Amino acid sequence: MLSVRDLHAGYGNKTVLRGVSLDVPRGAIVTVLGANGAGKSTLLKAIVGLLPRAAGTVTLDDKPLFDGAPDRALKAGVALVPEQRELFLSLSVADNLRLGGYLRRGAADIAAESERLLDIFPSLRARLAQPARTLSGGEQQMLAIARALMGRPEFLLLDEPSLGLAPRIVEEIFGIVRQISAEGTAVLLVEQNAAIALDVASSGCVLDLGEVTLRGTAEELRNSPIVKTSYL
Amino acid sequence: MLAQVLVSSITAGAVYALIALGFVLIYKGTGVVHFGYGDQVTFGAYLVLIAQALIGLPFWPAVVVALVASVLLGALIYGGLMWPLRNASLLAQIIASLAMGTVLREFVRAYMGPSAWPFPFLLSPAPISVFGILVVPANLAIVGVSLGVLALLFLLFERTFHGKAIMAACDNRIGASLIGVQVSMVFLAIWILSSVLATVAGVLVAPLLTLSPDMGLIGIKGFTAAVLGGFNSLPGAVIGGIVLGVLEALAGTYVSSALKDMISYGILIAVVLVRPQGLLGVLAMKKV
Repeated sequence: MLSVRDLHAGYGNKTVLRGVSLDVPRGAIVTVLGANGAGKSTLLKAIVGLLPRAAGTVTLDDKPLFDGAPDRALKAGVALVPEQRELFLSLSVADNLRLGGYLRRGAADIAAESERLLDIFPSLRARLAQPARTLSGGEQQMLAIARALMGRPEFLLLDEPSLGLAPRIVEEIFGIVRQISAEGTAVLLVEQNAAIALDVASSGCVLDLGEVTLRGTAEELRNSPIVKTSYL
Repeated sequence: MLAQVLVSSITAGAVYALIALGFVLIYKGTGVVHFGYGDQVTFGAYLVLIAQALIGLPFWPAVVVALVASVLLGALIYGGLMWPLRNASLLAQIIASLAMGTVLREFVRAYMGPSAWPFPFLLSPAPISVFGILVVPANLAIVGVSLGVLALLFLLFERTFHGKAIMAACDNRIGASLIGVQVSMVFLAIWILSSVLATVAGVLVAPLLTLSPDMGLIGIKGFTAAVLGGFNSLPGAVIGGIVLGVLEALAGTYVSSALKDMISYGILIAVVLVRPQGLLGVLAMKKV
C-alpha cells in the first residue's frame, strides 16, 4: 500500500497542498478529482520527490519513500507520468521506450519488456524509428505511459492522461489503464474528466484548494451531490 | 591543385569538428555557451608540456597524464563552479565559464611564459606523395585521431545505455530524472567528456599553430563550426567543422591567405544573419 499522510508541499513560499492524506492499495485504481489549481499535479510530484515536501510522509508498505530525486521513488516501484509527458522529443520512439528501463539496464529482458508493451500499445509499433516529436498527442501519451511501465513500477501515477485528446483515444487509454491494473500495477489517477475516472477507479477523493474535501468509493463519489454539480 | 587543397583542409576541419563537438555537448546538456573553451584547448596542450617539464616524462606518457588531468579538470569545473552556480542565471554561468578560461590562459602565461613553445607532431611532418597529391603523415595522424574520437563518441551515444541517458538528459531534464537518471551525474560526465575533448584537440592542433597562451583563439573557429552546424546537433558540429576547414582553405588558396581568418569570421556573421538554424537545420526539417 502506498500511503500519503498529512502532506504539505508547494512552490517557494506558495503552499499548494495543506495536509493531504490518501491510500492506494496494491493493484487498485484510485482517482483524485479536482478543478484546475486544486493541487492535483503538485500531489503527484511531491509523492515521487520531483517537488520537495514541506511536511508529511509518504510510505510504501510502511517504509518511508524518501524525499529527493525521482530515481529513489522509481527504485522503490513508484513511477510518474506527468501532465506534460516530458518525452525525449528528439530521440526515437524506440529509444524513449528503452530508456524507460534505464534503472533496470542490466536486466536481460529489456527487449522482451518493450515487446510486451508494444503489444499493449500497438499504435507505437509502426512509429519506432520516428522521433517522438512526430507522434500525435494520443501516441505521445501512450509512449509516456509505456516508458514509465518499462521500469516495472508497482504504482503508476498518471496526471491527466485524457487532457487534450479525442474521446476515442481517451477510451483507448483508459482501457489500457484497466489492463495495467488487472496485471497488478496500482494506479493513482489524477483527472478533471470525473466521469471517465470514476468509471475505472474503485475509490477516490476530491481535492479542493489543497485539501481533501470528500472521499469514498467510486459509487459514493458518483452519487455525491458535490461531485454531481461540480465535476460531472 | 583543388584536390591538394581539399586534402590539406581536412586536417584543420577535423580539429574544428572536435572543438565544435565540445561546444555543442556543453550547450545541449547544460545550456551554457562555454566561451572559455578555446583556452581549455590551449591548457590541454600545456598540460603535456607541464607533465614533461615537471615530472620529466617522455611525450606519450605525458599525453596520458594530460588526459587524466583533464578528467580531473572537468570534474573540478563542474564541482567547483557549475554545480554551485546551478540555480544562477544562464548569463552568470556563461560569464563564469569565460572567466575560468581567462584564469587558465593567464596561468599558463605566468607559469610557462608568454612566448611560443615547440610541440611535437604525432607523426613525421615531411610530406609524401600519394598519387600525385602531397600528404603529410602528421596531418593524417590528426585526421585519424579525430575520426577515432568521433567514432568512440558515436558508439557511446548511440550504442550504450549511459550515452543514451546523456542524450536523454540533454533533450529533457525532467524526463530524464523521471526514468531514474541522476541529472547531476550527467552534467559531471558532460564536463569531463568535453574537457578531455579539449585536451585531445589541443594536443592535435598545438604543433600546427605553435603553442602559446593565445592559441585559445582557435576556440572561435570551433564555435563558428558549431554555429554552422546549428549549435544543437552533434553530427552538425562535425559537418560544420569540415565545411569551415574546407572554406578556409579555399579562401586561403584562391583569395588570400592573409584574409583566411577574416573570411571565417565573415562566415560566422553570415550564418547568424541568414541561417541562424545552421546548415543542418534544413536537413533536420526534411527528415521530419
